[in-house]
Amino acid sequence: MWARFANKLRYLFRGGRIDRDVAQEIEFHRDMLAEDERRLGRTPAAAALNARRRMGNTALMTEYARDAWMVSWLDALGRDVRYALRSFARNPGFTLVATLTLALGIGANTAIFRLVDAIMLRALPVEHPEELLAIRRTVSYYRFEQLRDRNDVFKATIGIHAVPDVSLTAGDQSLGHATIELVSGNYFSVLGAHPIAGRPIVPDDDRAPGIGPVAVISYGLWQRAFARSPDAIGRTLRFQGGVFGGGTSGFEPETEQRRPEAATLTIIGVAPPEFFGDTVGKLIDVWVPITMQPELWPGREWLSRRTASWVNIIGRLQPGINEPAARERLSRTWRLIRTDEIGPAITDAQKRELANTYLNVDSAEKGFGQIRRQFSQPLLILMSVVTFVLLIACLNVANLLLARATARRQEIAMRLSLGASRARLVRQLLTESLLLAAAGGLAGAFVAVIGARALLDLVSGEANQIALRLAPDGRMLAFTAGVSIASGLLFGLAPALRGTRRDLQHVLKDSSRGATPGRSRASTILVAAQIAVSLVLLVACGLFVRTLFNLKAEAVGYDRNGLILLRADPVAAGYKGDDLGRAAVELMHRLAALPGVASGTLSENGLFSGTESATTLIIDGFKPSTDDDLVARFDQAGPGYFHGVGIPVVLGRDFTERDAPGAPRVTIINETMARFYFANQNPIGRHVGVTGPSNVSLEIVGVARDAQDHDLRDKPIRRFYVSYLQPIDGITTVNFEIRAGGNAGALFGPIRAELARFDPKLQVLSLKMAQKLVDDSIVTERLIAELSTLFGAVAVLLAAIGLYGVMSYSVARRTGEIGVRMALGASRRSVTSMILREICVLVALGSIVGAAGAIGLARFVESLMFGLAPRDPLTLAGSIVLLLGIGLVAGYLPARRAARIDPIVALRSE
Amino acid sequence: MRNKTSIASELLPGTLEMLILKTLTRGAAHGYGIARHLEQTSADVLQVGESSLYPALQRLLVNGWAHAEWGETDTGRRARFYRITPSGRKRLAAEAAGFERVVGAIAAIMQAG
Repeated sequence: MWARFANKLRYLFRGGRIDRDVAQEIEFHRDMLAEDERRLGRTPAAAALNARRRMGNTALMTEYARDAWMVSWLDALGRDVRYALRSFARNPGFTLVATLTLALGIGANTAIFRLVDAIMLRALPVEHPEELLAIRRTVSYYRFEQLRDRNDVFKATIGIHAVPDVSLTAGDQSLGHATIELVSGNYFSVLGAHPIAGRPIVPDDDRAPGIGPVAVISYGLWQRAFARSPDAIGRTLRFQGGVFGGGTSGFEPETEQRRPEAATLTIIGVAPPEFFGDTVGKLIDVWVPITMQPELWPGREWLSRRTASWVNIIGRLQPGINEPAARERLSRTWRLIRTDEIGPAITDAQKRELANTYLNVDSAEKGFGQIRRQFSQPLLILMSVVTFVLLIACLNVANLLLARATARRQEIAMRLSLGASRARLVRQLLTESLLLAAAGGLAGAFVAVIGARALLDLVSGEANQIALRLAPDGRMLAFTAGVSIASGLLFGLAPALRGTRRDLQHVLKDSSRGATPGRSRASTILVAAQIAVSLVLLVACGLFVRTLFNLKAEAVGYDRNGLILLRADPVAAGYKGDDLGRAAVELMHRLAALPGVASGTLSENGLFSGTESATTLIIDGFKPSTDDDLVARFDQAGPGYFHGVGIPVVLGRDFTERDAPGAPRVTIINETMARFYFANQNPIGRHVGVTGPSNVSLEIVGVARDAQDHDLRDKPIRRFYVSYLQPIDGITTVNFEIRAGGNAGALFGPIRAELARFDPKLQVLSLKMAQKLVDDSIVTERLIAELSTLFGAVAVLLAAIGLYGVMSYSVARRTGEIGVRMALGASRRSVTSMILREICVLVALGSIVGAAGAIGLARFVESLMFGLAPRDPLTLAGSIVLLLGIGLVAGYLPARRAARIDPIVALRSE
Repeated sequence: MRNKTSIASELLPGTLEMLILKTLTRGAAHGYGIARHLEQTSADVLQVGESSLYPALQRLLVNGWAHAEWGETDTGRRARFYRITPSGRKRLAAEAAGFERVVGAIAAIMQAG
């Protein structure tokens, strides 16, 4: 049968050749006939005519020949399908359970695959994405221009910067929040994204600051805001706000202050539908020439400011240059640029440092990949988890099929003895399995469409918006189909082969006996396998959940309950220099005076905001062993910061309003920093030199307890604080830490109102509870824990169903035996415990295999653990106990049924 | 004119395949050669229509009972040669046994009449 199947498959793929073969053959045949006729003395023309006549309809003949390959196969397939459908209709319960089980397994796999595909596998929808290379850091606009003009690696170099959360209006219609991207003029031509309406941004639009007030909008925005009207071209868009990220250091250059008006841009084009930008996880709504930056974000002159590092670079590689070579050559260019910047005063130390400076690069074939880096490992783990779930689902369906095959063994034995070939029956049973898998796959695709969307909502917290295109497409369908077919073969083959063994023919003679021992052994193995896989999942789930709990319980060093964080943008509102600090402190006092507020303070970076600062220090009398030893993180904090946030100052004092311009520059350091640099000496009164944008010396006036400012997984790190009023680095935002006296949620309205009263131009960038920010920072861990719990529960449920089925069957099969035992004096209790003992043996068998698997796989999740080892014995033991408990529950009903067997009835039925 | 029997329409199904397989046991042959052989061996009693010959040959290929290859005839023409496979020989043996049984049965009935 396989040979025949293979032959037919070959026909499917090479049908054309077979048709040609037949045609040529027939032509040969006709020629031979014509030759015969000629030999009989006819003229060549008459001979040919006669030969043709004798051949008859050759087209029909070819048709028949083709039929030989196709018809019988299709016929048989049709018969098998009809037969299978009838048998499903007769067993709706079985069909429903099997289909749902598979839908769950296949759906979960497809849903995760959609994310894996969108985030990790898919290339950018641009021309030759494989030629694109991204530089792994941001640079200033000046250095971007230098790199663009001086590198010998890229055919073309583009600079980009995306800004989320910009409020957008067209006319008087609000378009809500949008992500806009500043791009260099060559962006669209280099990526090969051709607008479907209007024109792209071109180099002339970004030739000089402010000359290109134009915008290309995404297809999505065009649809959403303009109903795909061609009139959109030429309309104006107005922008307001947006979180202007990017590392900056140093102070804003003093420039003519423009009073901020909302910038207006004219729409010139619409991007093609498939083009979402250059970064996975971000859907860009509007593209704007990069030189419009100062117009859009007044007060931030980043085109001219050399210390603002904000431009991302993607280049199109020249032919023949690979990634390592590009890194080498770009680094060389980079060093030349830096050397020129420093000028002739370059010191030996700077030269040494430069020689060790590299520009790292990443392939940008799939776009910028912050999201990819963040989610690759979690996604792969989830992919493995759902694979296990599908495996359990398949084992379950295999078990169901096995039971069915047993129930149908008479029918099958009959057909075998009537001369059906075993191959024929196996094929028919496999057709049933594949049909089941197809139904499961179809339902699974629906599960996936909803599931992937829900998953995405789970991962994108407010602070961490992830936008992906998740429209169902060919890749997803191909994946679903592939998984369905593989599952169908996986769960269908063994029962089909078992169910059609010739030795089953004795069944015909022996129709009254219920059981074949083989079925029982096979399904015991299947259930043990389910238990093993479930255990692996349970252990993983236990590890992830405990990691999440450990992270949540991790002390941050202050009370995060009732702490409100408000981030505002004073720069865009026109504040700068010392005025900014004064205004911020005034606003701080007004916020602290609001009813219901216990205390209020402020700082530059805030807590769990995703913004961190670090700098290199000079410490007298400290001998660094590596360069890193002199790096410490810092924040610029307002008066009463430590009291306000709730971090104890263990030595010295907190900041006050007297730590202002003109007063001696002071700093408060954390305990880790004090221990590291000053060992057992008292650091109060010592000095710390700060290099970088401002070369100043700070006097230590206090030591604070270590606190987690930004990452729960961080070990205590060296950190120092300077006064917000004596910044060592340019202030770009302000974060107010407001402690609520009572209900914190009720304060959000009054806080906004107070801000608006203070200065209507002052924009709120974010207003959140600290607890929420902390939760957002562990969104990945939460995602893995929640999903693995969900899938673990599904797996255990399926395993329990499998166990229940096997035990019920076992009890039914052994009714007679149990009856005899009871007739001979066995108590109900001993019968019950005999059944439960069997369950324990099953669970134990499965657990041994599962535990070995869990221990073997532990190292893959090691890096995700927090506060426990991946081979945590407690988790393993707990999982086994849980599984055993569930096993006993699943086995309780069959055991009770066994205990209720009436020996008289059981023996009479013998 | 002598009576001629068209194999496809008037013999038991499967017989043509059996006869072709039998022919192929003598060695590889092309379609025309098979047809000529059947006609000559049956002294022109059995007439093989080309419209049944080629589908039958395809069925042999589908079932893996025969194998076809392009080659050259004695006169240097390109033709497709069929060769019987081991599973074809098995099939032939089974068919031949069945055929003999059926023929025997038919003969018994006819003689009993």
